[in-house]
Amino acid sequence: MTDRSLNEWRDNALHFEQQINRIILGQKQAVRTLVLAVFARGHVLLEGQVGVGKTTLLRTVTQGLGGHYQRIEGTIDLMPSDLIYYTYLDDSGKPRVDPGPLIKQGSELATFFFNEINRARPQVHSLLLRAMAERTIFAFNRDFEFPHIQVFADRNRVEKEETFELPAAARDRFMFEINIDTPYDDTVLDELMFNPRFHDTDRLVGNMPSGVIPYYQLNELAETVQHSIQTSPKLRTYALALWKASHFPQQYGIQLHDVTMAQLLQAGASPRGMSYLIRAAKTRAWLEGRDAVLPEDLQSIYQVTMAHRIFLSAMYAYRAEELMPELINGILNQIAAP
Amino acid sequence: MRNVWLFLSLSLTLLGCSDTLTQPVRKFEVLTPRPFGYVIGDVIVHKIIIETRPGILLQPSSLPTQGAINRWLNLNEAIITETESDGGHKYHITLNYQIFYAPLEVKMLTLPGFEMAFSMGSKSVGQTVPPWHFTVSPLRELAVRKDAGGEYMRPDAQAEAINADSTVTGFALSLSIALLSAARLASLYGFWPFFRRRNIFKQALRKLDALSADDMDQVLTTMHQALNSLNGQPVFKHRLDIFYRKYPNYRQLGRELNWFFEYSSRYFFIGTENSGNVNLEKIKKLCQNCREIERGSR
Amino acid sequence: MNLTRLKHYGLWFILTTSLVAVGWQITALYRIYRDNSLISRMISEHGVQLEKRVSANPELRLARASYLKHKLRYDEALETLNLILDQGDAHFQARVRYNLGNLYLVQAIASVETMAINQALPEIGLAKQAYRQALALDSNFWDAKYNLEVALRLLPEMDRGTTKDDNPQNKNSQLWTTVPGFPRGLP
Repeated sequence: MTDRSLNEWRDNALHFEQQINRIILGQKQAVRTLVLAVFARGHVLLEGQVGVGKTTLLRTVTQGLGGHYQRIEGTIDLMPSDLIYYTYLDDSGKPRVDPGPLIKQGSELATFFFNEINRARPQVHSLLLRAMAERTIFAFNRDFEFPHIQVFADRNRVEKEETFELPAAARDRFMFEINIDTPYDDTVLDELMFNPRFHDTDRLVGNMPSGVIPYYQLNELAETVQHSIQTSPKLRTYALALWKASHFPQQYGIQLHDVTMAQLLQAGASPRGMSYLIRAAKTRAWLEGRDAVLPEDLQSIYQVTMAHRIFLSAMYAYRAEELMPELINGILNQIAAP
Repeated sequence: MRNVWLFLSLSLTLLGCSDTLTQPVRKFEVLTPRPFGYVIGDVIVHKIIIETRPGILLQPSSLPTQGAINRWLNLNEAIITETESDGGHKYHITLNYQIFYAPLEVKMLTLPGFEMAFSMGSKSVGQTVPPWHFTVSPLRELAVRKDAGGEYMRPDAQAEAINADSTVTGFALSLSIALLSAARLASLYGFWPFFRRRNIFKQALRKLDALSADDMDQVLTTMHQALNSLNGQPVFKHRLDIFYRKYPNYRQLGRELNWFFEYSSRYFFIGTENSGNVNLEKIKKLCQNCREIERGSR
Repeated sequence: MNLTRLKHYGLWFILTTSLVAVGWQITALYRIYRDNSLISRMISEHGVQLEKRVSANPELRLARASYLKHKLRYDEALETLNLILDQGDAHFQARVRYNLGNLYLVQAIASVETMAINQALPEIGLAKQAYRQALALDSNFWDAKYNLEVALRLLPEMDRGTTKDDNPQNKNSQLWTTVPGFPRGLP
């Protein structure tokens, strides 16, 4: 791909973002992160309160990407096999086996949308792991490949009963974990409450032009972006420091209130997480129209890339909601770029 | 003399108590000190209290005039204070006499009386202040015997040591002002080792002076470090606003700081900038400006 | 020029001004110290070098006048006292006038002893006037009271004839009819 087409792609991408923002109000930051995930080819886990538009947002993106999509609702009795096949008696009364949602569309499956992922059992999670990491699945004695698959999952933050915490390995496979908060801007709230446009989600999502971005070209585009955006030695040093700080924050002079820093962390970010960070940063630099990554690229996506990869030790786990943003802010505020 | 105030109240009732209301003067009192034990040069204070009926005014010219009354008597001061009372006037008159009489033995003298005048419309009413008698004593014998330890005259008054109190106070005051302002300036100029925040740019300037345009890496790093250590944490271009909120004085350098951060990211991360003396000078100028803000002269 | 800069240079200005004031006050303190030691030497010693200074402290001049009088250099003492007649506070002025009275009185006594009566009379008059002024300023000045009595004994002011008060005009003409008394008391 040439520079020229890269520029055209960028315009497309920004247009895509704009259109999502027209449908989903007051979530600019989340939309931007989601767009980054699409162009960096990463899976996304959405978290947030009930009814803030997580599902609508995902459906809108899916609609915009075009291609086939499948969705499944997580329930406690969902079994891995339910994703792969389902059995039923046909009209003539014979038992039949049909491919399940995951493999039905074969390689044309563009987005797989897992609702309420934390309600599904760990067995389901582990099946998903392979699909997400390797983009293949073994069924009916053969491998099915989904080269374009992008997994969006969401979970709500309210309920803890009858839910299964995502294992670390599963979380690590998501590029971003995005928190969707209730919009607090009064004009946005007013619009959401009284404009009938936002009352019927099906029609609202239907407003999103389908196939703005051809999903089957995204992999190639992402490769090009990754190759054409430069990282200078200084930036590499900075990124390395960011990574190390996620393991040993005390070495960078980060101090949280009422915390023994040496005992704070169980595990820091994984190498996969770091590669995701750089991928996303490069994609952001491209979206911003630059051909090199700046520290601010890393900073703006550090929270969404890192928060679900850093594991606090059991002692402090119960304070995670309070400590994690502090730790991330501490890292971003304490490490100097040049 | 003055401390032994034996007030003799010479309450002179002018007429019978039956119809004081018709009298022009309702109350007349002369307060005098003890009538004995005075020597030359003493001050004798007479106080006269008079209350008049409405419409009746004292004529101050009827009081003795200030100055020599006779050969040995001087009126130093005559103070009249006037207050309203019951529609009439109440006068407090203080007369400070000083006597200069050198008697050969204890001798009775007389302070002359006088007639006070009051005006009542066009008419005039008088009130007599009676003469007052007192005794004066000599200070020395008729003839002083020198051989008996007496002395003919007292010696000169000695000069006293010049009082330096006000000068010492002024000295202490101006010295402390000087020390305070010097201390403040020293802290502004970063001369105190414990005010590290005050000499960040001073040290950075020193470092920059030693660097040439070829060491642009170090030049930029030095400047970044200076800003970071002022802020207590790294300063990034997109967070300059927070920095300005913390250090509003640096907002005036907004344009230069923006340029610096842009130049630095172009140099470090994009690699499209090269070093050059022009840029080095610009950075040095920025550092100097920061230094001026640091020491409070900008 | 913004406010910060103004404040900064203001601080420099305050520093320089106060330093100048410190320097000025140090010299003033030194001068006071020097004058005070000179005063105490004039009071206690006799071989003091007298230098004529135009703007000396009044106290120093007072001491100098006493010293000159002690050395019988009456004219110079008189000149010195006249220069400081209107300086200082009431206490100081009373002392100046008392010393002035003493100066006249000493000369008057000397004149009486040499029987130069014509010369003695105005001197006694001046002495009396000076003592009276001193007492007017400070009525508890016992030395002045005493010496005024001395002067009055030397030249009594007699009332003519009766004990009735004279008016001041008569007094002057009367002065010349009086005779000085014993200057030194009884042998």
